Amino acid sequence: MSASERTGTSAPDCELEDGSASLPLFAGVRDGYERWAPTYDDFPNPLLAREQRHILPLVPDLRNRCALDLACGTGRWLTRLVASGAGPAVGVDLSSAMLRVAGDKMELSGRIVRGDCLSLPFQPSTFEFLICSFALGHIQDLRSAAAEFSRVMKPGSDLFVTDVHPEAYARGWRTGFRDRQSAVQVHTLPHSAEDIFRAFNSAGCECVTHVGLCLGGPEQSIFAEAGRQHLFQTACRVPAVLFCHLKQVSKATAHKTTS
Amino acid sequence: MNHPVANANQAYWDLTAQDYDRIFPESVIGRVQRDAVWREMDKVFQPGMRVLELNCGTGIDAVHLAGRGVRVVARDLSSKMIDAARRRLSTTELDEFVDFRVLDTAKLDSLVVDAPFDGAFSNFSGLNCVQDLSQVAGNLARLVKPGARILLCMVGRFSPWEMAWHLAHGKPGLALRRFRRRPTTPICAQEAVMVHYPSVRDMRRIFAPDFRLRGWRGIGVTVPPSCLEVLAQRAPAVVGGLARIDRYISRAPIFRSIGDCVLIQFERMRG
Repeated sequence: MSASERTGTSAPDCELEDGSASLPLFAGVRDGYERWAPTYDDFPNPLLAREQRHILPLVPDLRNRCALDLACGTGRWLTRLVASGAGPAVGVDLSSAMLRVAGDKMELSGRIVRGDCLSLPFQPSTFEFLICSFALGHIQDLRSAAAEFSRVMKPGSDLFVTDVHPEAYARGWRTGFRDRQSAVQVHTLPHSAEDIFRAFNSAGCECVTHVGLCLGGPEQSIFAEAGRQHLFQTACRVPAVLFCHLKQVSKATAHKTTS
Repeated sequence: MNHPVANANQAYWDLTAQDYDRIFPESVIGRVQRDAVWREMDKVFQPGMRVLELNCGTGIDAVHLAGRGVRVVARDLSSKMIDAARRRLSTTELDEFVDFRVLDTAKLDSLVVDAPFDGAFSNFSGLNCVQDLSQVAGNLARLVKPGARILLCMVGRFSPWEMAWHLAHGKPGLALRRFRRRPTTPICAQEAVMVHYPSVRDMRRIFAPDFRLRGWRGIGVTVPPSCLEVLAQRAPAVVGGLARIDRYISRAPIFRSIGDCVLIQFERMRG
């Protein structure tokens, strides 16, 4: 249950257990992403690919709808949100290093804000579509996060949350990367779907749907390129990504959790 | 404002509208100056806010803010500028976020809105052509919420680059044009457009009844003014370097008051 060795400096977001691991360096979220930022965009990642494959067809029409990428990092989703309709969209992240990489992307110019997801620098009831991709596990205080996300959501707006599936985490999948010096694990503690719903429910959001996504055929090439073809079949049996679709129903009324 | 001046103003900006987008926003200097203003604007105007833009020109700032989820009510006295702004907006998916209409800033009295704005701004030289700024200040006080921020970018009075350039070319009159107390005619205007260059102190006095001066900074301190674009195009990397220097020094005493433009931030006082 540790980050595994890979050849070269490449490393996916979430490493798979293969028994050949050296001891990784453990990093806090801020330090981890500061170190990860320069190479974050360089290597394909099966979990991100799987998430994207599921979500892209679900992204609503964003013309004239204000979208927010929470913990946007290097702007992976923000780039897609901007490209999908050139409607209003911004990304917020705490890591200056990740935002520097995002800022170098022409299409994201002026759309990035440095800020804390627990204290968003935005007006209430601003956004109609929000995405928080592989970030909730970095936030311990789920209730505060839910309350703050809900504050900036318009009534009726949609929020997509994804993270490493708790079952994958239980089997040793970790968020991390390998740089020139060592393997680095970024501190993450994925929340269960139930905990997520409970927190968002008390903040006035209801669960529309949630699903555990297993890796599949399209992700096979990423394993092959990383020289880890032998792990692919085993990896496919574990729900790798947790996807939750939440809807802001009312600022005042909490609704029953549907799970 | 009397009608001949208003008409001259309108004619000047209508004429400028034809080439404005090709000349200024696409120029090396225009881009770095606008970037410097946007950095400040992006800090002050957050997604979800609704702001008023005066002298919006071809709408480049309004569309930028709309891309960040800020709603903008944008006004300009030139119908040609507003046409260009609407054309710009039509190429985006942001049309519900910006409302472009013709309105002379000298006639702000006629602007009536349902709810006060979260902020207001005017970028570059538009306000330099408005003779009665106390009328603008009074109307802005009426139009924005208490605590709202106002960003006013105006052509500054002291531009060392411009002075050195014109002096070196034996044109002391042009070198000192911004210091004249009386309004002057811009170099390229064919009619009697009156331009004036109020200092930050003048602006503080004019806005004092309802606004508190929060700060100001130079825009184009070491970066040369747009009239030296020919030089800038020969060395865009140098301009980039100067823009970085500007970022560090443009808030410092002395430097904040010099530059091609000065960006002034006011706050609407409460109560």
